[in-house]
Amino acid sequence: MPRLRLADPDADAVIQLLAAPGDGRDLPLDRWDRVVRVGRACRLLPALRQRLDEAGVLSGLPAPVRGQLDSEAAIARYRKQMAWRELHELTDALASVPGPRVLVKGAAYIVQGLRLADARVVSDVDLLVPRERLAAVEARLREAGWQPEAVDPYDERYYREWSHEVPPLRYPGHLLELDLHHAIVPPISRVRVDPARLLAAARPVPGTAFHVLAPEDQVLHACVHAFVDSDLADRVRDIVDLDALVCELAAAPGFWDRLCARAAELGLARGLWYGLRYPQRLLGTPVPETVWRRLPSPGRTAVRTMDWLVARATTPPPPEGRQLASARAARWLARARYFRIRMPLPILLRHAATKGIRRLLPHAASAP
Amino acid sequence: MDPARALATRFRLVQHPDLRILTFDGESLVFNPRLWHTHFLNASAGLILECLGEAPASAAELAALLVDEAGRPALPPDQIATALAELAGLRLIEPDDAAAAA
Amino acid sequence: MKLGELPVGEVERLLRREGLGLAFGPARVRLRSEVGALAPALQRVYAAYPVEAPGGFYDVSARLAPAGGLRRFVRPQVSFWLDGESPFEPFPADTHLPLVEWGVNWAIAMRLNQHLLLHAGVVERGGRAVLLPALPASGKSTLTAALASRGYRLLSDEFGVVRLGDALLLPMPRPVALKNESIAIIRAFAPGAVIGPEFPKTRKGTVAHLAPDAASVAARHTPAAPALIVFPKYTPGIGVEVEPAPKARAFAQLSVNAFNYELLGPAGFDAVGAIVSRCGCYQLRFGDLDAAIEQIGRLLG
Repeated sequence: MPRLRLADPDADAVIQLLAAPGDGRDLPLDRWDRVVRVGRACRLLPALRQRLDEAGVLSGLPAPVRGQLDSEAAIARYRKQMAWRELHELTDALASVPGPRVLVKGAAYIVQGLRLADARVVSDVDLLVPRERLAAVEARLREAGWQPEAVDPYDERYYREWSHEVPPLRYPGHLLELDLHHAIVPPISRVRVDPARLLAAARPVPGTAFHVLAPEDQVLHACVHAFVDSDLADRVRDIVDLDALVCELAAAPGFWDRLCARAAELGLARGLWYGLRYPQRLLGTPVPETVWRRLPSPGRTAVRTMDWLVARATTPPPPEGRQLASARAARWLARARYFRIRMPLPILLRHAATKGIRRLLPHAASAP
Repeated sequence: MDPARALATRFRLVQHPDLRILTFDGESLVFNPRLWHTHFLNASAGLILECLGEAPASAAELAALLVDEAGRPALPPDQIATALAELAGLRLIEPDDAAAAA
Repeated sequence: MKLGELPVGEVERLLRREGLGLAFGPARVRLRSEVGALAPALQRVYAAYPVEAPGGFYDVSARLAPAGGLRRFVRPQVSFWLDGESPFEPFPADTHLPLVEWGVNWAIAMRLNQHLLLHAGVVERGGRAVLLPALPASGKSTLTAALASRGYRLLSDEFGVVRLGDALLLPMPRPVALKNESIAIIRAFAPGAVIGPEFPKTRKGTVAHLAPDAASVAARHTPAAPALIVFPKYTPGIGVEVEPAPKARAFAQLSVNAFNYELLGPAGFDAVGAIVSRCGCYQLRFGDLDAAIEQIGRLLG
């Protein structure tokens, strides 16, 4: 299967090292300089360090390169600890509120003790609760000390009514934000996923007060996050996460079968198709042929467009020099696609108009 | 945990590879692996932790251990219980029973 | 080839093109600049540093650029860029070196988390290092500069870089930032010292930089074992007063004041614990630099 190359050659070099870390043995210092800089911007250094370590290459690297990888790993480890701190506080704060309390994304990987959790920089703690419990959970959290991050009334309304999120909460002095969800895609978006089915399949993590989604659902959520509910910006990290997640969870017998069946059941076959294609094309994720035969493929034009977008829009602008015009165009197009999926057209226009007006008149009264 | 309950409980130090206790001239620094946080403890709390580091004990047993040169208890049991309750709240110590070990 | 030996035009060219590479010890920094005035100032305070060969690996790639817009002509400003991001407000263009020093400090604090970064001056004599923790108005920089001018090897003014595992101090001998009265004090105290240009209108008042001497720069790859912690407190009117500092308090002061103690968790705890265990810890109130240096010499043994 042909490799997909990222348009940014340095980002592509990072991906190639992730796929074949043994190549790191002979990389000259000035190549390492570029790889580390771009890898840092892509938030991929902890993953790179883990793979180099597993390949037995890490200890032989030049000391300054090793030093930078260790430095980023220390930051990642600290953030993981701060996630645990958040989880401990949540356990106490929500003890009186009936569950389930389902962790998703980074916090889920941490609480399950997945290897992937040590290869990532966790950004926030994401908690999924049944819609009917959302208000009670939010109230209990605010009572216990969590405060909404300052947002203006328009953005708050966008969050609550149109998106699927309560505005982010933060416990004063805590590093990480807490994002409360009742769904994994906005209720008004064109792609609907019934959260009740996800919650019904969630399972408890022994020794903790939390649940996580079924393994297939975790993969599907990661696919949605990377390719469906996404403007692709800086999503290269999520593609690497998908590779690691699938490799780790696919060890369970019957995994692929359940994954395909669940994707069909939830209407996420298209998201899964992309969610498996790009890890495989970039990193060589071993996806069985049977899976490709089973999943309906998008039209050739759609695939070529996505390939073009993914190659250009998923990496951050280079640290030195200007972003390619094609990369800027790709980012713009990817955002347009994102809003089209996320919002019906009338709301999209109103949203864009309001945001546009507010940009021109920063002192105008908020909220239409 | 409230001090009254702490008075009746036998405690042990939590088992965690990242727990650290360092004492200089009666003042102790403790690294709390659960909160990822360093505590600065006064002499009594530091001594209590050190004792529990050697063997699990109750407030009464600690009172018997912590005596001055004349053999008089240096700390009354209820003061020890207050310290134990606080240390338990910080999750540095836990009740020494089979259920906690599971 | 040392930076001080190059023609200034060559320094300017390097800054404009492939970048000027400097290896500070545990931190390797590549600097680019479109601001011509930076070159002579940089050259003066980093004169003893060898210029790194092109290519190579750097922990920090930084750039000084004119801040755009109309201000470019009316009241020119400069911005500091770290890998394509500009984390601070621009400075007036004539405070270029202070912005570079401040920016590089910030970048090092962000990027060197494989080590514990204490906020302290560090000097060394006879294989034994003295840590001078930085507290507001302590006179730490003045004292560090004075010690460095009296035969102590300079390891650092700003960062006590501690290697995890063995708790040795790693040198990073960069210019010592002197502020306001300290500039004249050090000029008088060490007439032979190389001090860079004075920048009068920074946020901290007037700033000038004492260049690290050639011997300290040459020894920057030689770690030092910590032996003494001295908490300085500049107290005008007295000579010098010293008293022992309780070690638990010294631990607390060092850890609270460090750049990344909280981040490192148990490894940070172990490193600070090892340092405090191995060092004599003292509070030193001083009004007289010579007396302070003599007292430190006696404490060091």
